[in-house]
Parts: sequence; structure tokens; C-alpha cells
Amino acid sequence: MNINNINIKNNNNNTTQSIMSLPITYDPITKIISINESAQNDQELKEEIDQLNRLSKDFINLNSEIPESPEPSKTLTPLIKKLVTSGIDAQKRGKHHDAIKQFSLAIDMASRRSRWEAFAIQLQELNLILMARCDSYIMTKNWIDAYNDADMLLGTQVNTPENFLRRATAASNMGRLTQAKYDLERGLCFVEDDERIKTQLGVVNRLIAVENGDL
Amino acid sequence: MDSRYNYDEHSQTWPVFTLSVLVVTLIPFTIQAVSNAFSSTKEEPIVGEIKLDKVDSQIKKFRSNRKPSKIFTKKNLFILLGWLSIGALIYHISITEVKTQVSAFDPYDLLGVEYGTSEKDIKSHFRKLSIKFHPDKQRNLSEDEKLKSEEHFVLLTKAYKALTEETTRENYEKYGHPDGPQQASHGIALPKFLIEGKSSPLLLALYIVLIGGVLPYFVSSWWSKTKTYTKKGIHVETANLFVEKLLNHKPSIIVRVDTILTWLSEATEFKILFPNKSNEEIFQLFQNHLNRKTPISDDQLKAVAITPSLIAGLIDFAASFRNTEISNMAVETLKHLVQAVPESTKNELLQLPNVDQTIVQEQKIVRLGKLLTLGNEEIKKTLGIKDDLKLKETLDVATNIPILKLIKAEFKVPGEVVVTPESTCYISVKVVVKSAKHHGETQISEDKLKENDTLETLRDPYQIVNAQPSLPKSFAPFFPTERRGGFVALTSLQKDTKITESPAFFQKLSLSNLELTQEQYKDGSKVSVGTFKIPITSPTPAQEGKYQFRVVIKSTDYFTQDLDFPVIMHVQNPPRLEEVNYDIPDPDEDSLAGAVAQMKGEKVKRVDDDSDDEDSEFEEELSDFEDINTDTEDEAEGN
Repeated sequence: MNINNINIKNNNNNTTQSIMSLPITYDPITKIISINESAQNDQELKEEIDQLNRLSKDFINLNSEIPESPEPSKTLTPLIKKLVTSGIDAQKRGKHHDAIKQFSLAIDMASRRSRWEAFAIQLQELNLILMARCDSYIMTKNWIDAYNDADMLLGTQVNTPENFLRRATAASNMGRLTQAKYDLERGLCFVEDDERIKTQLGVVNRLIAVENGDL
Repeated sequence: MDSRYNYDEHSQTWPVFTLSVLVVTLIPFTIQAVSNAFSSTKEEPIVGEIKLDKVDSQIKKFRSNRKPSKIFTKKNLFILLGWLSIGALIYHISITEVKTQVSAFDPYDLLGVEYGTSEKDIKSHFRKLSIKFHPDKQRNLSEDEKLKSEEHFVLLTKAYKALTEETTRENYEKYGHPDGPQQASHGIALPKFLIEGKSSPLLLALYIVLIGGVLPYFVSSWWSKTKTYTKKGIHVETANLFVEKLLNHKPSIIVRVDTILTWLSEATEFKILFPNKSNEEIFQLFQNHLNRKTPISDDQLKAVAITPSLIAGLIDFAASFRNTEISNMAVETLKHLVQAVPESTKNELLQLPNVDQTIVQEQKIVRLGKLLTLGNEEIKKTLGIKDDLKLKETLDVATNIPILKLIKAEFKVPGEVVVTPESTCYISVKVVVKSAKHHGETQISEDKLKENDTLETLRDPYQIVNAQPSLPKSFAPFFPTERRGGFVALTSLQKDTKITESPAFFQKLSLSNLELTQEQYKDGSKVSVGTFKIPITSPTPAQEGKYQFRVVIKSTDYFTQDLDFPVIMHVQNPPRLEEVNYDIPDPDEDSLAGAVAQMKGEKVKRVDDDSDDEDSEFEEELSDFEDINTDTEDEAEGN
């Protein structure tokens, strides 16, 4: 079977058509779809094709006619748990660089889960690891990475006041005081009277005043 | 040609007609032109305007070319030609003799008697005349004269009859002629030479050109204009482009000034303006502008000049897509274009004149406020200025850039104390305009924040905003056109960080605070408070509770610390009015009011009477009776 042009729905921003023929080729031996030379620079297409290849690979590796249940994999879950607990141990002992390594490994492992596993569980797991890693980044003053982790956390889970604190701390240390102020104010909207956010907001407001020459 | 219509053969009517049409159209135009000419000369200097002239000569030339000449406009030409033709027409009318065609039938005149002569006299007079004018009595006349005298005699007879005979008289009184209704005659105020002379083909051609050519042309060009440009004045294709960009925007991609500029460079307006330029070349023009590259090309000025309207369109679309990030960045891009400053953290300092970019980038200071806490020598060092005169210019600009300070922001429902459910509300924002030289807090008395609720303000709560003075021209020496910027308010929901309202633009605010000294600012008695009111289009929620909003108020032209604050919409039912006790005694049981009160279940005063048992029994019976009565009544009501 050799399909040169596959019609799939596409929201590529270079075209206004919703249905179009894509410049992709299917290799029946490796069972992988590759992008033709002409469209190598199309990042969005590349992303989507990668995901499609990944899913088909998962199915092929399964060696079974029907996909498994969406329950979390029984082999990966304990491995990830182990990495996380050792990471938290290292964090408690103050070895934040080790902890970050463990957490990163755990995230890497978690991302290897099959695509049909329940996403809600995957997300929850990822959030827990990200929170721990973000804290370690903050402790090691790696503000940029801490900011990215907190940003991801806020994207998936807004009603945790700690996440606002995390991003605001990272932002204020990166010099983005207005961003920090906005994060803390937004955090207060979800959790009124959170003392930690209030104190941090006071600190940020003071920093802004100093930057403006008011203090 | 129908004989009922006759042309203006002696050129008497059409000049008058044309004159009146001209006068009716010209007078309003002239009044407007004259009042415009006078009002523009009386333009008062606006408080807080930065008058420093730092505009490059080439940009100056571009600006003056774009500004339409005030004297040589099409409108003025029309007015001039109009008045000239009015003069010519008046002259023409004054020299033409007015020949009135007497066609009216006047029996008295015909008979040669005075109006109101008695019937008897008329009869005797007619007899005399008939003897004199009867055609049989006339001899020695040519055929022609004979005919004329006959006609005259007929007229005389008619006139006589009109005054003596019943039916003819009636006809005369009703229709003005003894024979009854006459053929109506209509005049056309067109000179005859135009229609029936040699020039009639010319007129026909004119008609054809007007109806077949000019009219369709204007209609079609108007129609295509409304079809190709949106209400906001951007090309439909550009609007499509923006919608497409927003639809396909991934939230994971960070929007920067360059992103917005790339989008802008693809606008159809530029394809029309520069058919030979690619998108990349237009993007390069923007970059050259931001980096203040010299020499400035004319294309660059042209391209940058139309960006504000494109960005305004983009902000509008981004807001309707509820995208806070893109809306914010679009306003930022506008600031960068207006001040010709590339993206960096030092924007506030780089917008000042005479600064050295490389030196500023090396410094720690970011904000204008901090800069102005330093001594002059240090400021010179920070900005890389060597000349004292130039420093004065720079400081003049730095202290006159308006900075907003939030005093109070709240949701308001006109005429209500609290924010009531399901009502129209607005966000009232009280700000103090301050200069970067003002530091610390200011004391604002409560009176300045208070708004009196009058019938007028209830009808139009935005009156107070519009009553503020207009903002002055912005200091933007590198921008191709003169700018009168303002502030834009973006309202979003804290819950999902998405924009809820279309952006509100403000161009009115008093900048009088800029002239205050630090002491006056601190003292606060002379500080004026500005007001923004952001209309909320959707009604407040039906459920009571707290709803969190975020408001960002950005200056469109200057880099300053923009206002960014949370506002809580606390929806609650209005407090209940306490029941007023008027101290009216309960009505007596046996009175009519008492009966009514009893039926309503209210208290009544029992009538104390010292009746004996019999009586009371009777009363019981009566009350039973009443009970029965009311029961039946109830049933009757129920039915």
C-alpha cells in the first residue's frame, strides 16, 4: 500500500482550505510517515506527523489486536514513583541538583506512557513532579527554569495558590516585577486572604516602588 | 412638445431658480468654512504639551505634504465658484426686463369699468361699447383686422356675461374664466435654447453621461469601498488575515513585537501601497524605523504612517477573540512604532530625546521615576548626554510624560449604591496624572472622588469623562505623522485571563498635575483627579457573589508603568428599605377599614363594649354568619 497523498483535516495557517493534500509519504516497511522535501520547514505539520508516528509506533509495539485499557501502565508507574520519592528525599536533604535530576528523569519517564492511557491521571502525576522540580529550581535560584515549570503548572492547574507564588517568585527575581504583581493579584482572586501571597505582594510592590524611585 | 408646458423663453425664471438652489446649498457650506477658519486660529495651548521640536527635516516634509492645505481645498473652490456664479446671476437678473404676460381674464378691465360698478351701469356701458365694437358696425377693415375685432367683441361679450349672467358669473368666480376651467400651463425653469436650440443634443449627451456614467460610477465606487474596507477602516483582506492569524495562534507560542510586525507586514494595505515589495521588505522597513536608521526612505515613512489604524483593527479583533496576550502586545507594538524604539527593557529611557542607546543599555536604571531621583551629572552619565542644553531638553520631555497613578477603581451601576444583579454597569477608574519627578504618595480628599448623582449623570454616566480636556499631541519626533494618542483600557476576567470587553479608548484627561512641584503633589490639595469609565456591555450576573476582573490601562504612545489592577464586581441585591412606621393606629374592628384590615390579616382594635352574654352570643352568631358569608365569597372568588 503506497499512499502519496493523504487527505486529512488540517488547520495549517498557510492555507484557508480545511481539506487539502499534504506533502507526506508513507513507508510500508518502517510504517512511518515522512514529510516530503518541499515541506521540511513546516513546523506545525512536523509536529502533527511526529505525534501520528508516535501513536502508530505505540500500537505496533503493543503486539495485540486491541489496545489495552486506559489504565496507567503497571510497569512504568512504580518506576516513576520510585524516582519521585528519591527526588523528594534528596530535596529534603538539601541536595537540590540531585533532586532536579531525579524529577527530570521522572518527567521523561512519564512522557513515555502510551498515548491511550487516561490523560487526567497523567496530568495529575506530571503536575506533582513539576511542583517538586519547580521548588528545587527556586532553591537553586534557577529562575528561568522555575518560571517555565510554574508557567506550565498555571496552564493546567490554576486554583493552587502555591503555583502563583512560584511563578511570581521566579518572575520577580528575573526582574519582571509587573508580571509578578499581576500573578500574585490573580492568585488572591482564587484564594482570598492567603497570607503568603499577601506578604509576597507586599515585597513585590516595594520592589516596584524602589525601581520607580519612590522609595 | 405639449402646449401646456412652456420653456423659459425670455430667460426670466431659470436664473432665479438656479440662484435659489445655489444660495440654499452655499450658505451652510460658507458658514461652516468661515467658522472652521476662525476656530482653528484660536487653538489654545494644551496643558502638558511637549513643545520640543526634534523632528527630522525629512519627516517634517512628509508631515506637511500629508497635511491637506487649508486654503486650496475642493470645498473652498466650490464655495468660490458658487459665489461667483451667484454674482453673475444677480447681475443677469438685474439687467433683464421682466415681461409679464397678462393672460388673466379681468372682465372689469376688458369693459373699461371700475371694480364694483353696479350691474345697471355695466349694462348701459356695454351697450355703448357693443355699438362701437360690433363687427357689423366696423367697416373698411382688412380681413385680419376683421378677425381681431371679432375676437375682441367676443371677449367683451364674455366679460359682460361674466358680470351679469348667473352661470358665467359662477364659472368666473370658480375658475377665473367665464368659460369654465382653463388649460393649466406649466413653466419649466430651463432656458429654451438648451432644449430646442442647437444645443439640445448637448443636453441629451449630458443626461446620458450623468445617468449612464457618472451616477453608476459614484454608486459603484461607494459600494466597493464599503465592501473592501471594514468599519474600522482596514482592508477586508487584512481583516481576514488577522482573523486567520488569531484562529491559528497557539497559546504556547509567545507573542512579541516582531510577531505583530510580521503580521502587519502581510497586510493588503501594503500590497496596494507597494505592489513590488515583498512582506519581508516591508518588515525590514519597520525594523529600520524602530532602529532609527538613516537615511529615512519615503517608503518607510509611508508604511509606518498607516500602522496605527492597522494595529487598532488588530486590537479590536484580538479583543473579540478574547486574547489578552495579543491585545497587550499589539498596544506595545504601537508604542514601539510611535517612539521608534526597538524591543528592550530600557524603553522608558530610550524614548527620551538626545540619549545614547548603547550607554543606556549598559545602565541599571530602567524607569523614568528612578532616573529623576538622580542629580543632573548622574543623569548625564546614565543617558550619555554631554551638553547641558540637551540635558534640559531631555528632562523637559521626561517630566512631561504623563504617568497614571490609580486612586480608586470600582464597579458602578448608575443610581445604585451597590452592584445589583442583572443591571448595566461600568468600571469607574479614578486616577491621578503624575510626572516622573513626583515621588511617593499623594493625599486625595474623598470629595474629589465623589460624583454627584444627578438626573443628567444618571442618563449619561460618561458625561464626566467627556467633559475632561483633550490630551495634547504626543512627543513622537520619529513618527511620520503627528500623533494625538491616549489610553486604552483592556478588561479581562481573572478566572480565565481572557478579555471580556472590547477595548475602550480614552483621549480626554487633564494633565495639569504635571506642572505641580513635588511638595504640591504630596500635599494633594491642588492635585486634580482624572476619571475613566469603562463600559461593560453584558449585564451583571443574576447570582450574587464576587466576580474578579483585571483592568489594564495602557498609554498608546509613551512607555510608562502602565496601570494593571484587579477589580472585584461584588454583585448583591440592593439593601431593603426599612419598613416605615407611620404610627397610624390600628383601625377599629367595626369600621370599614377594620374589615379590610381583617381580611388582609392585619391587626385591628377590638371594640370594647360592655355587652352582656346575650349580646355576645348574638355576636358569635353574627360572626358565624360572617364566616359563612366570607366562605361563600371565597368560593365565589375561587370559581
